[in-house]
Amino acid sequence: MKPNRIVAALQLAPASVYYSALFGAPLLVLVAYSFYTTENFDFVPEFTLDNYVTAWTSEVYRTYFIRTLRISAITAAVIAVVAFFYSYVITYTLRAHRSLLYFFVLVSMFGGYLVRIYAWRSIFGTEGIANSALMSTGIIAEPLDLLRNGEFAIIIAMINFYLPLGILPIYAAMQNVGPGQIEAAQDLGSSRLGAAGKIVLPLALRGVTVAFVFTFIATAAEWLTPQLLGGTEDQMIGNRIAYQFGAGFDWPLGAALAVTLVVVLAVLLGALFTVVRRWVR
Amino acid sequence: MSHRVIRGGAIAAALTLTTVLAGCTGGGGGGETPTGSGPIDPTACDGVTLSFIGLDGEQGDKELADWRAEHDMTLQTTSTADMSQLIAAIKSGQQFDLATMTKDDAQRMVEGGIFQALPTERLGNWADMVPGMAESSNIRDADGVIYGAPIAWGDGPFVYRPDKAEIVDDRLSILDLTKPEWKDRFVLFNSPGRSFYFIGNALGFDSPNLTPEELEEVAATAKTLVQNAAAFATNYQDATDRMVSGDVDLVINGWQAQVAAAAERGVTLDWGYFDEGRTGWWDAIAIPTTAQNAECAALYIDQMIGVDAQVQIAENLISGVVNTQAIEATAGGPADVYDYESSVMDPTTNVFGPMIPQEDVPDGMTSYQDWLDAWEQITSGS
Amino acid sequence: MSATPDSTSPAIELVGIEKAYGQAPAVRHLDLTIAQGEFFSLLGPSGCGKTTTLRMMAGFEFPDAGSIRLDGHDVTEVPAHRRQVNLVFQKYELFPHMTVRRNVGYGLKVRRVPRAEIDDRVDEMLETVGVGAFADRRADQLSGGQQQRVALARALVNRPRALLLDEPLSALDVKLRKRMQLELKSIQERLGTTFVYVTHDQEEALLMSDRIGIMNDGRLLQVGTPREIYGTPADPFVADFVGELNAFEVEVRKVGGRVSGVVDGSPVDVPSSASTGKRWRIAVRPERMEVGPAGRKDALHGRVTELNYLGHTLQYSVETAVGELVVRAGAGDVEREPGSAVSIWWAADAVIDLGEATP
Repeated sequence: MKPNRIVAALQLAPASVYYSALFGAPLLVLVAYSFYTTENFDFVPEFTLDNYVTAWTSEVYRTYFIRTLRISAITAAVIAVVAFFYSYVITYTLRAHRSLLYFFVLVSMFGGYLVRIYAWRSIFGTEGIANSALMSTGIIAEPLDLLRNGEFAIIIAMINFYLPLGILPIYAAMQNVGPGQIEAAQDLGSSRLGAAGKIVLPLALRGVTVAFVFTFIATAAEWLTPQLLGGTEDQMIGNRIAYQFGAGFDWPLGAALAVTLVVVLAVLLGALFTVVRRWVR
Repeated sequence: MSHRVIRGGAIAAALTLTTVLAGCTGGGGGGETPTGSGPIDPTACDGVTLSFIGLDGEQGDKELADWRAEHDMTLQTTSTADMSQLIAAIKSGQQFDLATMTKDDAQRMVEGGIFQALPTERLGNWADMVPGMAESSNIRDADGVIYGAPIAWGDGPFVYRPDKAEIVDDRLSILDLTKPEWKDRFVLFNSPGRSFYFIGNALGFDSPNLTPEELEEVAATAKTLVQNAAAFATNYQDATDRMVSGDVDLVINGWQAQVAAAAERGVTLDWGYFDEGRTGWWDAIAIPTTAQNAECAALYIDQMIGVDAQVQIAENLISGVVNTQAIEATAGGPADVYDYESSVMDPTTNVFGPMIPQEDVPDGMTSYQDWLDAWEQITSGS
Repeated sequence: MSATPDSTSPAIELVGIEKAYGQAPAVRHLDLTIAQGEFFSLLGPSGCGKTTTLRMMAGFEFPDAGSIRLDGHDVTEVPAHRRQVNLVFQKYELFPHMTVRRNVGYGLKVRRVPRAEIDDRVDEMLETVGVGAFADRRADQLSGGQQQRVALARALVNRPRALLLDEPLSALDVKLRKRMQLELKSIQERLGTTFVYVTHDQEEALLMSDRIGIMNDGRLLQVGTPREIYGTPADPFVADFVGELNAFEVEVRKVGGRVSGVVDGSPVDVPSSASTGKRWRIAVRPERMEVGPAGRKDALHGRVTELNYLGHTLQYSVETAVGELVVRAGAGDVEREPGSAVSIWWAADAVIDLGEATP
């Protein structure tokens, strides 16, 4: 090895060790588990595909997977759009205030997950703030189903939780697109929106894709939000995985479900990246 | 109070290397067992450090603080509300002297072999154990060996807001809650036990012994119940919050302590029982097979079921006492909400009978796993 | 907006333009008319308001007062994307994710010009500016000079009523800049497009422009041909900013019946506006000064401190009673070694009037 390679290897070492020890190893153990069964609280290390058969063929789990992917896709898509326009505004339109506006994004991550989830709890519900406000102003006579615990509440809350995760990569990508390029597009006849679509979007597309992927992965693994804001038929696959690792005490099935989720996400997002890369060219 | 618990453990926790390895090694053992005979030496705990795993608040932390000081004893608590985690920890050989054993998990815990027999004949206070507990089959294995000492109990009422829901004589059928007028007005916990048990009884079956056909019927009714519910409550506190905020009017899985908690926040709650019966709970303490200080652990358990500790535990948890001598002392206090005669004093009542199928299911009957599968199907929304 | 070309109107007219950013005035009461086909430069130091003025012409800034007309049509409130002018940006602002061809065709595509016509016009323009060979490269794979040409093509291909250029050559090295100056001028002459060129480089402006407007502190101080600006600056700032200058004070007296400025005991020519008994500021450009042997009458006297060869000229620094003067002489002249005593004089028409000296 050349000396600079050795230096590079040494520099990478802490991160490599960290990832392989704290992420890689448990993942491998998880994969190993998924081929086991349990009996009387003991793991039986006999190779079996039963867990995957259950995970892939059970109509119940298919329902959970489809619901999870639907909720996550909607959430990630809304976040990508909102984050794009927010980043656009703080990068170009209100450039003078961008430090402050960027700070707001970070501030919105303060307060922690639980505090915010309980805040949303008080907003949604039959007598939540949203329904009460609409009823007291006479806009509606009966509580709206939409504003009760349910999929809508889950999505809105998750958008709130994960929006910063979407803004950061898009904002970062936009810093490579100067306001001059937008002016150039305008000078050549594009409206502001046209310039955003034809110039900023393609140039920031990598950031937008990363934002979508980040938030998609994060929301697809969610279980606390559906537990606290969902109704009785809005649980996501994360709830089932958590259950199998907890009270259900079927870690092999939980592991198979988790591995399945990882695989499904990898395939979907790999396809997304391929499409995006083709489109940029 | 296992049902006070957020069901479903953390994936993160499950992924840590320790627990992962824990599961692999399997089988416990290697600990000390109480070997003496006759009453336990009252100095067995002097200078000893006991380690406890289980429900925080049920280890005598406050109630036995003075006693521990007298004996220069130390208590280390590993808090978990998840019995599966507890089982995994002991199974992996981690050393604990005391552990929580909850009623509905008791049988599988005993079957799992994580506890050692409790030498009740050597416990001075065992003679005063309420008969409903002392004679319970749930604390025993198939051979009648006792593994745990109950320390608190309740009778599983539903809790509701009397200002918003009119319930005559505090009595209600579980089937009432499947009717349209209850739509989105109540919460329940995300597990099949109580709902299936009540619905089975309501449909004229012998819960929890259900045939597959009966379970199918029960599940169909349970689906209506679940769809009628506003949400799943994650624990008692959550259910109380939802009632106090006015979001719902009733929780199926209630606990008298909720009434006091809501009163502090200016909301009046009341409780009642379903026509289909009472599903009592109890939590016990037992000695894991990995215990290092089994003698002291047995002495500590004896203290936990003593009169002094029992009165305090009951008032702290709003639970029932297990010591007949302590019943009188709770009268007029905050825990004076239980009818002892119709429950723990009478072993023939079914209040503490099994609510869910136990480990050895009779032929032709559904297992708890069948119940869980049915529940998963119902709650998937498919 | 589709204004019909109207060659009888000026290309651009600015009338009474005022523009301020908050409390800070950027452009103050500016009137300017730019003729069709003219190469007009706005020259001034940074912060003088020239770029703001250009951006108002482009439609990126809007005046607080006054009006802007393009080919006789009022466009004061028309935003950039609907104005038929194009801007060449200082940093080019090419679209890095597009090929050269797509960059240049962008404006035509936005305006929905038919595909075939776009291709023809883009190719033609790429040839005109000399980057035809790079048509299918990505914009970010080009050198600075090539990017400059592409930026020019991207603007010109739209056949703008006027091409606005914001210091387009400032990012290039000196040699390339000199070449591009000539090329720009020749392209402009070939296409006949009105060019409005913003620069702080006086040499560039003098070289390329038909007319120059000098700006300082938001005001347009003088508009004229390079010769007028250089030879008869209307303002001390203009005089100082354009070309080098030897400025000094003289005492105005009548000497032998003529009003003269007296320096170092010698009478020198002063502007006719100078009145006797006052101190006056005058200036003479280095190349208008003559240098000769010491002892000449009616001249300044001094001693050479430095001699530099600037290719075809000799440049002296001469220490005199009014301070150090810079004098340029032809390379064929007799060389005066540093340390030698010299006389310095100039013709009457070389004197630039800077007005009465303020004490």
